[in-house]
Amino acid sequence: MSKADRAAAPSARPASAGRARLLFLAFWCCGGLLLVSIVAPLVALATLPSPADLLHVAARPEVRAAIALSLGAAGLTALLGAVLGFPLAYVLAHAKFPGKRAIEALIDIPLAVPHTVAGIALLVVYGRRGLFGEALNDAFGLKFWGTLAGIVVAMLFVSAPYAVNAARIGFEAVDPKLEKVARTLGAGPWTVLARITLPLAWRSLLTGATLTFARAISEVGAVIILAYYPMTAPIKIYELFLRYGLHEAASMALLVLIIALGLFIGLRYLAYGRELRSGSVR
Amino acid sequence: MSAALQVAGLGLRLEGIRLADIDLSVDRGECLVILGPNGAGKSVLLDAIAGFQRLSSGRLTLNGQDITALAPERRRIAFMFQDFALFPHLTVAENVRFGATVAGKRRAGEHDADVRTEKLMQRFGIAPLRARLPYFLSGGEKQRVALARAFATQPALLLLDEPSSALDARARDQLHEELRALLADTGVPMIYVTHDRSEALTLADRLAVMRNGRLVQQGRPDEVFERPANAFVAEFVGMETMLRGRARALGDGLAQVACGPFNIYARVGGALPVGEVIACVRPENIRLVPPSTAVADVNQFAATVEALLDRGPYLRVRLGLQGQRLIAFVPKHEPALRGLHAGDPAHAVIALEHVHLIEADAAD
Repeated sequence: MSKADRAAAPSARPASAGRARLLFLAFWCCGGLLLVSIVAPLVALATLPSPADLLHVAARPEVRAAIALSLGAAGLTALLGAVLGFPLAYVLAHAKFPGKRAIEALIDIPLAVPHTVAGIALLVVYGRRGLFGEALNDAFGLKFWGTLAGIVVAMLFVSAPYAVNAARIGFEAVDPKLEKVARTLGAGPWTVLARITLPLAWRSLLTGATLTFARAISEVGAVIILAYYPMTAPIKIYELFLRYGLHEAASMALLVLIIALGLFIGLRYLAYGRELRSGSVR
Repeated sequence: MSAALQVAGLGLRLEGIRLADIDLSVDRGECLVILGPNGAGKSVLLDAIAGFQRLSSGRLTLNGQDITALAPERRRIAFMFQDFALFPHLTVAENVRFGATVAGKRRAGEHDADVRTEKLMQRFGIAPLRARLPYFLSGGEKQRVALARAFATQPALLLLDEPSSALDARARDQLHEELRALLADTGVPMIYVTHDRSEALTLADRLAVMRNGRLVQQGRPDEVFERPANAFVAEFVGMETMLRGRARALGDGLAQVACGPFNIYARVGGALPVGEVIACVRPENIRLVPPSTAVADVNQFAATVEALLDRGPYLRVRLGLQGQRLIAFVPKHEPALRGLHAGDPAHAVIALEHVHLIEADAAD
């Protein structure tokens, strides 16, 4: 570096810096529009009903029942998604076998199917004369038509991919060498799972369960076909809208939004809290 | 019942790699280095010894016990990986104690384990780091933690998969010293995999060269380096000068190899290879003298310097000789060679016993 170069260095920027800034500016414009289109409706919704409206709608027993049902069903779905989906995710992350690709594609099918289509398909299987529907009713008296069980199978169908995929990514991110080294240090496969794999993958698992929960609680299409009654919160909102109009529906919508968002943020904080505090979130 | 580990007739098949007819043994207090190019199957072999691969044939015996069918956690074989594979969510102390905590219920003596862990952390100088997470350790520190963790389980054998490749030169030397000291102190035998021949020379009590899933030569390192069995091994252990020719016995253990316009002579210890041979000379065994100084009756060649590479303490000199190529390592302070340049004439002198003959069609 010559003396002249060194003197010029602090002030002179390479010409490419300006062009890079232009690129970022253009991209910010695009991204900004998207952000506005997400934030604006939420803000509009949040400012429409007054606190009194919220309290009023929250006091109605059928509204509370619908919200409780949604939370309960989505919670159950997240639990089922974890119990059934995480093991599958582990197998997909760890084992090589023929047909693995096919199974991975299969898992994603619910993401691509219109949810009313999913609802109809579920009805065929879980309905009164459906393959599972009839057998389970005969065996255990378990009905899926207009019941909590129906809501949960509908929610599970549309949200299971989130549980499996998030967990699979989490399991895959655990370096296989760590699991190997643990084995050579005397840990059996179950111990390795408990001491190495799960502690390293738990965030992805929690994320998977959270996404499953979020997807389940927002589901309408599949649920409405299997179980219009008992009403989950989104269906109740729809009903309020049809029967009483926008204002009534908006009040309950905001109530649901606050609860769902609160839960979502709480779970995110649980997963990434330490990084959020230290400002080094990935 | 001398060898600690005995591998007999090991074979296995994976996609992309196949190991066959692997026989090897390691004694207590001994380091076996497996040297080979990338993709030779070295890591797969270590995996198989540790118990992570199903064998299609062969038997593994460790201290007299058949371990072929044992799960990895029951073999008492420790493993050290290239990047050390420290558990990122556990502190240094927890990493070192891991073996003891998972074995806690199976083996008695929790207290002994604690004492042992503590001693090992002192021994490896990592006690002050006990509360740190691996993320905050240097390469050399990680390597010491990994060693302490491995030895905390009192292994019967230690496998090392290119552990030096993530280290800088200084930390690498320290690792080599540490391993030699551990061999002397503990007697725990080691198998060390590398593609670096200088590392192999530094560490090996015995050396096995691997290629395409087979061990192509085993022996003491000086044996393998001086007397490679075939052209592949010769090239891989750094026989940089390899001259093809026809061999003829002259009697008295002497052989003459006709390489076209010149002859090279060799003193042959065992049986003389017949027909087409390759005469190999290690670069440090080629001496350069100024032209027109006759120092030997045979094996003095008037060559031309083609290229010079500065390797620090020595020069790597490429010489042209009637269309053939010789490589010599020359100490920098050799007075006769001051001011040597490409294009200069120089005489190469090779002692008879430094010429090693390989049959040209020897299976490699």
